[in-house]
Amino acid sequence: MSGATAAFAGAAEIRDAMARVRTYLRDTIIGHTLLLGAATGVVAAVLGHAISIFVATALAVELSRTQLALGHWVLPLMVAAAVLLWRVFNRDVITPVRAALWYEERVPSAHAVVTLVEQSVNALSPGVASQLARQAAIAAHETLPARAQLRSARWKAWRVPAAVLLSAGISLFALRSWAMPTLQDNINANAATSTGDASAGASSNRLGTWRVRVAPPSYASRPAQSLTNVGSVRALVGSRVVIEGDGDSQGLAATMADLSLSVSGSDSWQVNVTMPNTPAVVRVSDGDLSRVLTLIPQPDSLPQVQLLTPLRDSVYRDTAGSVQLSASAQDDLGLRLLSFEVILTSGAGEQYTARTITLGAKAVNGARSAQAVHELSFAVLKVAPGDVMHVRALARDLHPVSSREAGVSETRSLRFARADEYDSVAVEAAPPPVVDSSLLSQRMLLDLTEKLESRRARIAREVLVVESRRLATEQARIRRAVSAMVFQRVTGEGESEHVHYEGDGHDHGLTAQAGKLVPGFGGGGVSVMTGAQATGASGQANNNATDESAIVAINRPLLEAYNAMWDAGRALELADPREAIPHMRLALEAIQRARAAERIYLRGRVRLIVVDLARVRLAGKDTGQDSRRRPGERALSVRDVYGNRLLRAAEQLVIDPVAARDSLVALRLDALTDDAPLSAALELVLSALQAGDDVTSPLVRARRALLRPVAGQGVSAWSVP
Amino acid sequence: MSADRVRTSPGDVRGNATGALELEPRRSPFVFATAQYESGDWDSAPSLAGNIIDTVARYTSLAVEPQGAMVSLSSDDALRYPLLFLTGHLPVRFTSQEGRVIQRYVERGGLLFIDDHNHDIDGAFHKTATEEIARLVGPLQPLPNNHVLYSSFFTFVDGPPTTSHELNGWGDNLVHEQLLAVTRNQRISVLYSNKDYSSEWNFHPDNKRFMGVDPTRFAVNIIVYALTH
Amino acid sequence: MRSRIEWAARVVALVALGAAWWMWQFPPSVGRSASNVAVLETVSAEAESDSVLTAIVNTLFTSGQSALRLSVSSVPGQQTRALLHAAQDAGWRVEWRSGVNANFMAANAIAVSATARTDPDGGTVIQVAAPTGTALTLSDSLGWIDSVLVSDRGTYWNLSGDARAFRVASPFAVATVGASAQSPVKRIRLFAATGWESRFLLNALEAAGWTVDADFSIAPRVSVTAGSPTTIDTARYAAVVALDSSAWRQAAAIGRFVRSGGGLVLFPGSARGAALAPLRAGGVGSALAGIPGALRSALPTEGLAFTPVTGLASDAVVMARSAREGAPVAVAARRVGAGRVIQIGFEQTWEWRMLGGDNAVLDHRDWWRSMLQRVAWSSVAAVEERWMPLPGNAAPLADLVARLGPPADAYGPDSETLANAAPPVWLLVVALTALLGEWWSRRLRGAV
Repeated sequence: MSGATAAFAGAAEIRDAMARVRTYLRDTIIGHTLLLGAATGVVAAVLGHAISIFVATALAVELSRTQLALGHWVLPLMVAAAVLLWRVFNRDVITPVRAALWYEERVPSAHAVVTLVEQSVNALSPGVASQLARQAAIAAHETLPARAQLRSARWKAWRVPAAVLLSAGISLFALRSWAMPTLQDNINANAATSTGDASAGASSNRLGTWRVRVAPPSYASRPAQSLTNVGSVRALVGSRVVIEGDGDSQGLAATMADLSLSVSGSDSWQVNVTMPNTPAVVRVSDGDLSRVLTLIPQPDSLPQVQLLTPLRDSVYRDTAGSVQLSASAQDDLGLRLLSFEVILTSGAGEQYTARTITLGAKAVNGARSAQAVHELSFAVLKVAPGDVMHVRALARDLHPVSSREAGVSETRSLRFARADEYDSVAVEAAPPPVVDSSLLSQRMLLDLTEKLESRRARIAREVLVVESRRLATEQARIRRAVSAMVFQRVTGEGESEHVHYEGDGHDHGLTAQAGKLVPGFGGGGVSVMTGAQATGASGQANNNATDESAIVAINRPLLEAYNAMWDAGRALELADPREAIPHMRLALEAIQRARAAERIYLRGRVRLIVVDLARVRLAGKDTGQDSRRRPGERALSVRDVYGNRLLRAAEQLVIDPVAARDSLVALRLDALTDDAPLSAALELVLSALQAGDDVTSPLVRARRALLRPVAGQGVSAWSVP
Repeated sequence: MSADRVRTSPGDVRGNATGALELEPRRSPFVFATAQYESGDWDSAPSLAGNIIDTVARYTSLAVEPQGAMVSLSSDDALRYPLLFLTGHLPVRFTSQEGRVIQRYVERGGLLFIDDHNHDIDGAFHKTATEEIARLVGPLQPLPNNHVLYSSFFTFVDGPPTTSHELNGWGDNLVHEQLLAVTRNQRISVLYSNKDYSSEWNFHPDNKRFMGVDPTRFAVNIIVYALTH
Repeated sequence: MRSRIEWAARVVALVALGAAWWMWQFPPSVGRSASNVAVLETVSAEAESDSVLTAIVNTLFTSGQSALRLSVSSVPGQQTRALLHAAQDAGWRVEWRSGVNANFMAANAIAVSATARTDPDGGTVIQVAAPTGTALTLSDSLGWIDSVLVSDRGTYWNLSGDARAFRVASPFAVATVGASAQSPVKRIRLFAATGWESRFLLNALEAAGWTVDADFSIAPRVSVTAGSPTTIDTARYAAVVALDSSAWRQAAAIGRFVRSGGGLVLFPGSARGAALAPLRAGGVGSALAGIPGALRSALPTEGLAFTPVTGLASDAVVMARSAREGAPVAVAARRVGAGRVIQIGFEQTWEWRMLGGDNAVLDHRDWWRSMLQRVAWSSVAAVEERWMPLPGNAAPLADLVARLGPPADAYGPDSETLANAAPPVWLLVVALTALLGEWWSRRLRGAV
């Protein structure tokens, strides 16, 4: 092996060794840089904490959360980042030559190493090269690379920043553990918990940082929440709310409205409360200091239920058969049961019985929506004609309280007609039968009269007279039945065809003229009603409606029938059926109109009594007594009340911040239910207070939400436009 | 319009300061209205309205329409009648629209007078009607028998007058001593009766002449109360 | 040597230009003019500070001037005005003129009045007369409340809450005003027949905080009494509400009540008769039915039965018109003696409460409340009418004129003031001369 080759081989070996040294040193320097950055950052954080504690305690300057975050975290991070960047951009690159120099510094005999690493071997003369190689090989084999030496170098590089980092970390931990809660408490409670009493500083730690755990009721299957330092909690009614803080519970008191709550715990205190139905404030007090937590309940909504079928109310002709019931339901948390409720009512008049039956119950295991279908057989329920069935769907949610209301659907009424109602859905049979019997009789009588008229040419005059008078008798009978009904309605008296005369003190709106009944007492404007006059158009029958008493008006068709029957009867008495027939037709038509008018439907018109006020006015035997009215209550304008409360709280902010904050919390609580915009605006005020920010802008917004100034344009000549 | 027509309401013709007669414009008269609802038999006492109107005219000088009105609870027209009468035998289940109208009606100052035509405390009407009122307006509470309602015109020392239907054993065989009510701002918003006035007052007014004591007098108290409170 | 002269010329030019700019931008606040007159400029209302007052005091009392001329950019504040007024009374000649706005008088005239609402719940009505286009802001001791751009020579605010002091500011003037306490009388006498209108009116007034006395006739010799009706006078009642002819029997007493300061609300039913005709604001027209569906609209009163107020009395003031064709008068008011009468054309207002929109109950009550506020007797009205020697801060410009007289530039801008505002010409001449000399010198020596 020549000298150059030997030198080359030795140089390569040296280079490899130097590369390993270089890598080790580079890692050492990177570690050193990171340690230095971290140590600087932590030192900066310690300084930031120390300064903030000094400012807050010694100088009594209130610091906001933002200021604290800036001093405690943002600036230290920036310092650390700056150090890192500085080291990165100004690092001394670990080159093989530098590594060799570093090595040579520690092993002076290895001076050839630098030359070997630095110079190109080929550029050396073979003699020099081989000499160097030999020297380097000896040095290298003797001392290179000493691991202990490297480790020592690394330790030397790292120990200072590591020590600084460790000590600064311990300091920071200590500051945050012991000193910071005091400051945090001051910040959290801001002006609220501070009454200026310096001795309160120690105990205020206990209210400073609190944690709130919210466990929704188990049936809700919702996860628990953990919150830190919140001023309000929104949770399901019935949720368990646990407020926890550091320190002994001795001397702490907690209240909600007028209710005293127990505070327990030795190392850390805690207050347990159940989310009420209405907004409430939990106040935890520690001597003169207090802190409040607003509880905002979220109600568990009742299930929403829709009855899909039957779609509408129905009347069934037959009690056999069935109907499909189907319903759907939704709930915000989960459903437990979906069923149908049927109330079957039987009876009439004053005797009714009702059965309530639950059908098609379907268990729903917590699903938020469900559907149920059930085939309702009428036979199973033993439905009878005349029965009424009210059907609705019910859904119960997972709420465990037994008295919990169920969600219900709209109700459908299914009615089963009686046999005598098949022609219609009439339920009141009282007036129609009389009219119906008259109708049938009148129609038969008309038929008989027409037949008599058709036979008139073929029969003798005597026969005609006898048969005609017999029909006249029948006609009179029907007429009396009609008159009985009219009088029953108008006067309540059963006897028919009696009339009264002006001045007899017993006016019921009917008077007799030439045997006929005429509405009202013979005023000049009242014309005598005749069949001929009423024949033209039924609408003309009411021509005189404005002149007659209202009680007569609704009985007018029957009056027309009565009078037409009178004319028909007179013609029949005179054995003139041809003359009688038009009157009889008129009577039939009038009875048909009366029947149509009087038919009482389940959801239609009912027979109304029209009272003759003039007749009964002050006719009562009894007299009443004077009475005094109890004054009504003044409706306090919530807006005005809130406005005044806000003004007072705003004025107090300067004088007594604790009281002002409490007033604002209470105001927000009250406004939650009836003034959402104000509540939202007050939330901003409280947030600003909590953060120690300027509250002017949110206060102005809250005030505008309350005052709602009404502006108008123009100048009025009146003091109040 | 003739003078006779104007005189239907006493006091319409008045003398002024100068002694001259002046016609007062027609006052808006009281209308006795019966509430229609989808479920049940709302029209179970068809003669009652006329009878009550007769009673009002018989004992007071209040302007009153001679004929009652029927108004659907699912229509805003119900709000035109600040006193509404509701009765029936069958279960009462208000539709959602009826429920909304009832809530608005009560909030705005209307008085809903409900009478159980069954006078049966376990009856379907009672159970469902009280449930529905509690759901929509609030729970019904017993009305004290010294309430101003019982002295607003006639004096009923013992509270609501007893009906013959209670005494003769119809229904639940009970004499209900108190009416129930929902009150708002010290005013009755919903008046509920188990007395079955619907049966007691459901006759033609002319039949009063056969009665020693007019059973409908209590209706005047209800109407006077509604008109002045 | 030559170049040094050129340098000197450049320096002189620059210094002259700088001085001119400085004097243009920052004119001297107190200057002296000939004839022993001090000129004080740019006095503004918003910037009424100690420095301005000190400048005035210094000018008047320490510099030995016998006259003061103010150039104002906006109406000076209350203290400044008072000081100048005092100086004028003490013998100094004080003269003022507008420094910026040639149309100063028109642009700055605002006047404010505040009236405590005669209402159980209190409240204040603030009226402002201001030029159209003026931006006004309203504030009180707690801060800003509202702002508005005047579009019809004035504006007003209706504010709830306790009576307090208010501040109305325009760009050129600031006015402050305080509302007086309201009347302690909170009783109303109602005359009405038994019916839904009287019942719901009673409910609305009681809910609004009024105590209402009324007798409702039920039957001959039977009535229901609300409150304790008694003799109608201003010691007992703030206003009388007459719904119908029930009031006619007491027409003479009502007349005396109104003339002695009481308020009266008339409806078509009560205004129609001759008994109350001497008090009414106008005649009673023909009745019109309510417009179907309007009760739930933005104009709910149009849904009410309506009898227009016609043939207005010469001193009647129209308060509201119907939106119907021809804009008939719906509400009119007039003063009768010391009292006030309002005549309303709407009838059966209870239908609004029952059939109106979602807030109908509150709207109906507030409407009635506003009707009573316009007429109800207030015990402090007489106190407010006491003689005031000066307009005060409620009308700042009027106060300035009343104290110091009209502005010297009432008929046009002052040339001297305008000249003062421009940079001094001689400085520009010096700068130009120096520059020309420098340029000339360089040309002569052949430099570029």
